[in-house]
Amino acid sequence: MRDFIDNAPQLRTTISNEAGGRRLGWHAAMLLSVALGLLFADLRGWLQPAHSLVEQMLAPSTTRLTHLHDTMWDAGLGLFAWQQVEQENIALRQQISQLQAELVLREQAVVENARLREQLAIQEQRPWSLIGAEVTVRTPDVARRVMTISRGAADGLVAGMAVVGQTGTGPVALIGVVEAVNERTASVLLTTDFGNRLSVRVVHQGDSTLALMQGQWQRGSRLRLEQAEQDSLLQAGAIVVSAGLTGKLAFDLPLASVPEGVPIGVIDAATNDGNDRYADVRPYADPDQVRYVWVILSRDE
Amino acid sequence: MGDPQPRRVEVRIIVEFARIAGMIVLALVQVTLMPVIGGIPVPLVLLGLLCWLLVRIEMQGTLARTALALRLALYGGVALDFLTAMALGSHALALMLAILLAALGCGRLRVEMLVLAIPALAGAVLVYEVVLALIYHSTTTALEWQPYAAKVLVPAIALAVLVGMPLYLMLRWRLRS
Repeated sequence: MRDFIDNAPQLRTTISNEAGGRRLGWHAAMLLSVALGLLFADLRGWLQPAHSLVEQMLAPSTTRLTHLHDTMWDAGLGLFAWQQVEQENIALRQQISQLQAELVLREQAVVENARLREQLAIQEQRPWSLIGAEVTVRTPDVARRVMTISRGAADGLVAGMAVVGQTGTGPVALIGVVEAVNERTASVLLTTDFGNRLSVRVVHQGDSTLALMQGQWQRGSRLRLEQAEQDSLLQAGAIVVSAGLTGKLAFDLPLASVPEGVPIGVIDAATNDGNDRYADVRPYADPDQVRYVWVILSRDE
Repeated sequence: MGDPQPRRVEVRIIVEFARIAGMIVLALVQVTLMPVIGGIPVPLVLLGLLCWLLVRIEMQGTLARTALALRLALYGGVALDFLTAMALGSHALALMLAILLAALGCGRLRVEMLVLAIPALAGAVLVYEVVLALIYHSTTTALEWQPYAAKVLVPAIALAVLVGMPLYLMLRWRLRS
């Protein structure tokens, strides 16, 4: 077999014949069997310890390389940016971000009949215990929307925890749920993945309703709301936050409950398809763009 | 100097380890340094291997290097699986099938490779992404194939061809010169 590879030029006359083709066929069959064997063994969980170990060993390298990528990306963008405008832009973005975050909190406050509570009081009502994590590996192909973060079981992470992040001018918002945990790393299933379904609350003009949200990446979109209790509230501009009911409703999902009140996004457009009304949601934080995230470890009641 | 035969085995082992290391580096570059454009990542390992193989097929007029490309695909695929949350073997299987089918297709057609490169790249990316989506479909959540094909696969193929063609032309120029 080795000679077959090392002496390729000498095989020009033989590769096209039956023997050469058969040899390539055997080689391909053998390697494909190895891949299928690995797949079978990993799906059975037999290779999970090795998977975790290697992932842990590679985590420092991936973190540094991802940093390098972000630095290069920023440097590339900086070439086209006017410094003063950029600083002004940053200041304005921060202001907008703060205002949007306040808006989300105030809308929720109305629904919860809190009557003109101040922002501080809202924050006190929702104190999340957070842990920060760097994004080490972004989604590597189009089949799934997942990322790897630099925190794991050693930091107290368990599958099902909510992961929040911030991009641009938006408020801190849900970007995914911890799907699998290794000792020092964890994989996060992004909200935009088709396999990610969450119970959410839609808040619009002082009223609210429950709905089911599902990722739409594999359908060519971002997020979609459906099965709302009150279809009429699915309107453009309505705010979407997590309802925290996924666990209670016992959906057959690997995702455990996400705390209620985590901002998710805003409805872009609502559509009637005859029987049901559904809405496309624009997430506050783009899961593909976040570089640093926070995992909600617990909610102190 | 000793017996040349054991040294040859040592050299083979070193070369094989160098290939494994090279594929790990390529996989690392794919998942960390490559830009994600419109949410679509560039499958660098697939494009690199396929472009190299297409140039080799063109230069040698045979599929002799396909076996080596498949072995490199296995190394690169397993490295990608370790670096991501996919089950071990997923990327390896997708890469090997994509490369094998593209190589067999190109080997059978008596057409100028420069003309074949675009359909070969597009076909390989299609096979690669469909295999990964099938694994996702059968192990995680059932996909709706029509919107997935129209809104995810087509842009992914277009991007891969856009990135792959310059890479192919560069490798072709480099290896032929």
